[in-house]
Amino acid sequence: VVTSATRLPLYQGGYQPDIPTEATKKVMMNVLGIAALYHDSSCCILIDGKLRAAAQEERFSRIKYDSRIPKEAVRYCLKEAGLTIHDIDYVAYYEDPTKKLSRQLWMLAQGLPFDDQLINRMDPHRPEQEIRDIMGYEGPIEYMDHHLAHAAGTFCFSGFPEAAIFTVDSVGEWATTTLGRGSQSGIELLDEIHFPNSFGLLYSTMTSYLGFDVNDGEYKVMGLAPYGTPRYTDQVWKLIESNKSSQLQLQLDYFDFLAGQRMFSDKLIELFKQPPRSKNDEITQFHQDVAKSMQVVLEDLLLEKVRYLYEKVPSQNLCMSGGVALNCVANGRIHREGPYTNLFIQPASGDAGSSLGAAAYVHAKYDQSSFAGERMEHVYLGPGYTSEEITRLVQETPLPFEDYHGNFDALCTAVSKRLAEGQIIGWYQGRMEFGPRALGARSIIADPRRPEMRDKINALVKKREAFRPFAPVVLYDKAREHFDLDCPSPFMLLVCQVCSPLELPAITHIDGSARVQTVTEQYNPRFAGLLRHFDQETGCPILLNTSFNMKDEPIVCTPVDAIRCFVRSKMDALVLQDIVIDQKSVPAFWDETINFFEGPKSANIDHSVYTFF
Amino acid sequence: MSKQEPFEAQKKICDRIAQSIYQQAGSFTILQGLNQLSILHNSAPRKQQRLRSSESEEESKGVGIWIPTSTEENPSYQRKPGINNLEASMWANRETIPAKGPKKRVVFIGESVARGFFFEPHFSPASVLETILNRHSAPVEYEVIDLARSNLSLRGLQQLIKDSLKLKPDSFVLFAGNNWIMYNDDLQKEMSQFSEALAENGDTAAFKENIKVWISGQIRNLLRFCQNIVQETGIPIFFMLPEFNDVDFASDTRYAIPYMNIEKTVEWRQSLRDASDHKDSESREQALQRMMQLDDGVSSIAPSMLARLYAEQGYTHKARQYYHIARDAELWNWLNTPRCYTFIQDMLRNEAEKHGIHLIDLPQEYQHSLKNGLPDRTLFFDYCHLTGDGIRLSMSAAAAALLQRMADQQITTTDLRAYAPTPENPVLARAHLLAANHNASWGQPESIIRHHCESAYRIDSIVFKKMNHWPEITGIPLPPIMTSAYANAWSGGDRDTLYRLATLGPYSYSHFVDTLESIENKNPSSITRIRATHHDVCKKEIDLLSPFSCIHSWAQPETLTIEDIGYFRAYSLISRFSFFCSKPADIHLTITLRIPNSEKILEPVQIRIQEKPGFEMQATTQWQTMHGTLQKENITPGLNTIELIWPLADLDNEYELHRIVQQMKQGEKIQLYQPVGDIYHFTANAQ
Repeated sequence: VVTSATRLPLYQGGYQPDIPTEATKKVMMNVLGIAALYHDSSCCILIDGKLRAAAQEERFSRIKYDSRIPKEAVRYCLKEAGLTIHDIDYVAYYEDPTKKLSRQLWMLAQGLPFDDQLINRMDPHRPEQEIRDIMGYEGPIEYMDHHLAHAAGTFCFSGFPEAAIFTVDSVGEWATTTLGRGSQSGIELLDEIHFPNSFGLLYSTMTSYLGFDVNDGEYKVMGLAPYGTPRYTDQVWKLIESNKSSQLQLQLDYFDFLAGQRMFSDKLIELFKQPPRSKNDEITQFHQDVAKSMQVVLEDLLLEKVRYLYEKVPSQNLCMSGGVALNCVANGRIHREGPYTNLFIQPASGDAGSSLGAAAYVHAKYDQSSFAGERMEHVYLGPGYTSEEITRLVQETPLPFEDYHGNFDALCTAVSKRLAEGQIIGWYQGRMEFGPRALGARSIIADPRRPEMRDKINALVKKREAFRPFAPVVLYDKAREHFDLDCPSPFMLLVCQVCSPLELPAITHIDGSARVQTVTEQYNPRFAGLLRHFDQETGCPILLNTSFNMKDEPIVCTPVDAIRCFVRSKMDALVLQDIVIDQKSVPAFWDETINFFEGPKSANIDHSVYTFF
Repeated sequence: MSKQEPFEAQKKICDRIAQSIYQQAGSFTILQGLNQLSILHNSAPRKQQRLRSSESEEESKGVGIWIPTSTEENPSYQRKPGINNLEASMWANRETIPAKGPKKRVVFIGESVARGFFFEPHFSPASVLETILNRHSAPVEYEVIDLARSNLSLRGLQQLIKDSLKLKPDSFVLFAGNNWIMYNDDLQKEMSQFSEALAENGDTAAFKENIKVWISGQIRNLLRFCQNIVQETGIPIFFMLPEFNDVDFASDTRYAIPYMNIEKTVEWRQSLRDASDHKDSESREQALQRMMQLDDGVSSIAPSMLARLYAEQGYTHKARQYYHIARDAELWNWLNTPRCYTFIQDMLRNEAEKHGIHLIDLPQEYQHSLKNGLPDRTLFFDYCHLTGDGIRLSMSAAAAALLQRMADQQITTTDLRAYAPTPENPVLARAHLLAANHNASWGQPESIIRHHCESAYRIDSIVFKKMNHWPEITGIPLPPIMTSAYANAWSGGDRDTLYRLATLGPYSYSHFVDTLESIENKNPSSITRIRATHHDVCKKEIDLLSPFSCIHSWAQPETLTIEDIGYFRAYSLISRFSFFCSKPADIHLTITLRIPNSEKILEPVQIRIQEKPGFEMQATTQWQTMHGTLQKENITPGLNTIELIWPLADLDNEYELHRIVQQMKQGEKIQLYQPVGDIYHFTANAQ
């Protein structure tokens, strides 16, 4: 049974925040959820248990994976909710600093190198101090276990009255994986895997060995895997000890992350009989095979744990969260081959999404209301700009534009025509998505039938590795005609086989799979409208959909970010709500001054080894 | 015992320690202390992530941004290909450096003053020096190789001297000393070790002294480095000692209170009120002297006011003395403009010659030229950048020193000045216009902004008209480069100027904008249209905490806090917020504010509009949201200014100082003024 969330007025010609009055403010419980000081910090606000806004700090600061206290995201959430800082009843923080310190002290005892700055970062009072000093918050702060925040982040937004819960990431405090159950009366974690044993660290270690950034390149390994053959599964199995119980044990002599300099040891290199790949080295068949082997082992392991969980919690429903739950290939197998009928995966399953869980848990606890909340039907929880605001800004630039305000059909017709001609388009509509996926609010879109499109977007627009696949977005009512998919996939978290009568080379991965997003008019009417027009124009209800950003940049947030990215990436056209700007109309002198258009700012986390502090 | 048992035992111990650290205040300090004593150290240091600045990272095939064109022993040099516009725009405007020939080569190295900031790339001190030398020294020919770079640091200076030995100079002229505190990454790294004085009792004076001692060590290193070069190569080094614009650059634009205890703070604020209110100069002088005693000389407010008082009374010597005290008062402050502090000047005066370096003492040259007058707008465009006359005088002094040492010619600065070229009128007009904008950006008084605008208009009204798109460019909430006004200015020419302007922030330089409007007096509607379109309180709620409304100067201490924390922390005793109103209307204000870390709040917060009383609010130590209305009789169609006057409060400095010390230890920039209030939310609405 899935309940529907109240639909917010999102896309019909802009939106107006639903601002509480002075009288209603006093009776509502307002909870701010915070995830910060590790990587990818975020904030959300729950008013009387309803999720009103959520955003990652990186979108505002323009620093990818920004880990600092999310002061800008907090300001945005409060503004969106029509509240100010003293209207907040609780701040819910996504981890327990004392338990985290315990794990960090243990790591120091194992010989992890450290310095003054690291010691200062370990201070368990730091979260509170920064919440007070930087956010200016004066009220109560509730810390909770990191994996409980993950668990609540998925269960409380699943719409299930009860469910089994499986959280998997790299590390929290001590726990790295938990198995549990959720019901209206609470969330119970039944079993845990403890650091240093970790699915996430296992996958990140192989990510690093394959020459990709830790905490960033894991999805590249997943994308590389279909090019390979699982020749090295025996070697990968040697890295761990697992059985059909809940537990997993890393064979630590293959790993070096406890020494703090790199993820893998020399013994792991000996095991695979090849030196680790450096970032700019060519990707060979060996790397593809190792990626495939790692992926297969991960899927098998996760399935094994899910089956074990089913023995303990034989529900119809499974909720998943944690960074590893972003591995949509594994999710697809769990959905197809696992024992649970219904699967809900939090769309921002990484640490950013645990701010939602922290807030939901604290609300249910103090409001004494049900932990089983309404289903999260969409992720359009970030800032939005009205058509008038955007037009007013663009009118001050030298960019000529086509204005379709009040004529959405004409906009869709014009955009469909451009897409059918092979143009790459920046599609900027309504409120920004929360989480790692662009789902039609801040997207780059193109015709998936064109064989050249993947290479063109990878090379020219996104400036990233050629092997990386792009995802399709499809009208939900047409999805089964083209994909082997028997349920909605609104958050692009499931991988399935392409079975379309159309040739779709730009979104079909080497193994015939695709990571599908399904769209309905109910939750994204403008994106669905565009797909219908494109279908009418071409007979194809599918578009290529990738995030609106360039390499090493966060997804765009404001119209100005979008214009910057559009100019630098050389997309063919930019659709900003109701207006269309053509790349040909960009003034020539903007090319000469391109350096003044901000490029990526350096991240404040280290990608060579996992950040344990 | 199973494999898991030792792990579980260790975990329990770690849990207990962590609990104990969390529960007992101060126990984390023990961990920090153990680390500092190296008791916990057991391995190699973590890798450094900080990148070195581009000015110093080249170990050096080349010189600055120039690289050799061949591997010959005496190559020519050219600019590195692919260097970005911003970096390129920092350096002297030369594409190539020729191979050393028969001309006597003077390598000229320095900071933005040496580049001829505001004149570049059209007119430079190096070219003036070369002209003077060549007009006077025939048949010997001189070439001056201009290697000046804006924002050049002390470390960068040393690197550049070392690298430019490859150019086989016959002499070096160094024109530097303004940037040695402001652009000093090494100092920033060392700051945490100076924090103990602050942690103890908020002793800003001791903190300041520590900085002076550390910088003095760095300068001594530079002098020794130069001495070695002179001794090893025989190449003479001339050092031009910079000066500061005492009269026409106000150091006291920040009305903020340095750290003192509450008794001193109350008396200091009362003295400031007395000094502002009293008409008779004796009482004013007494009040200001008392302020200086109370704050230990770490605020520029009292000495600046005293200097102006003495100057008005004709006491030039005393005025100079107090201008210098004001200039030096806040050398700890990251928001200060570049300047050559008295202790740096004195050190170079005392030690340069001992290290074999020839000193060209510009402060003395200026004093002589001004007939004992004070340095002012005739020589300076802003704090330290020179006018055309300033450059001519300075380069004449340099030429006199060079000719004396290198050609044994005794010619006075005054005589040589006749040989110095002047900038052409369009270049001079442009420089005045840029100076007006720069002074506005630093929160300088309207009179000096008007002086530069009027000078630009008088000298070349065409240049003025071409460049006066700038207020439109900055008034739109877009990056300047994206605006139509910028595109129009681009097509009109002078792209170098636009490049530089594009790096400035979107602040409401209202003086600059209004002055431009009033001088041109032709088309004020473009600014009004922009304000009405984007900032009109009659059309939409205006966020008074946006930079357009609340940041009026780079020198404002609030600029740093807006970047670092999620709300507006006021350090200035009066916070100003501007908004545009297209027609008179009642303006409703909503404000969430507090007086942080206070035990007693002694007065209400006052809100004023256009310098008239608005209303009062009783703030508390915790956030409160309050509403108030400004009556339409007091609202002016156009730009309006709200002043929020913060009350006297008994601030808990200990908490703040602890926070500052922690920030310093994290390598963050700090602000050493007492916070007087916080605002989380501040909006104005006419509807």
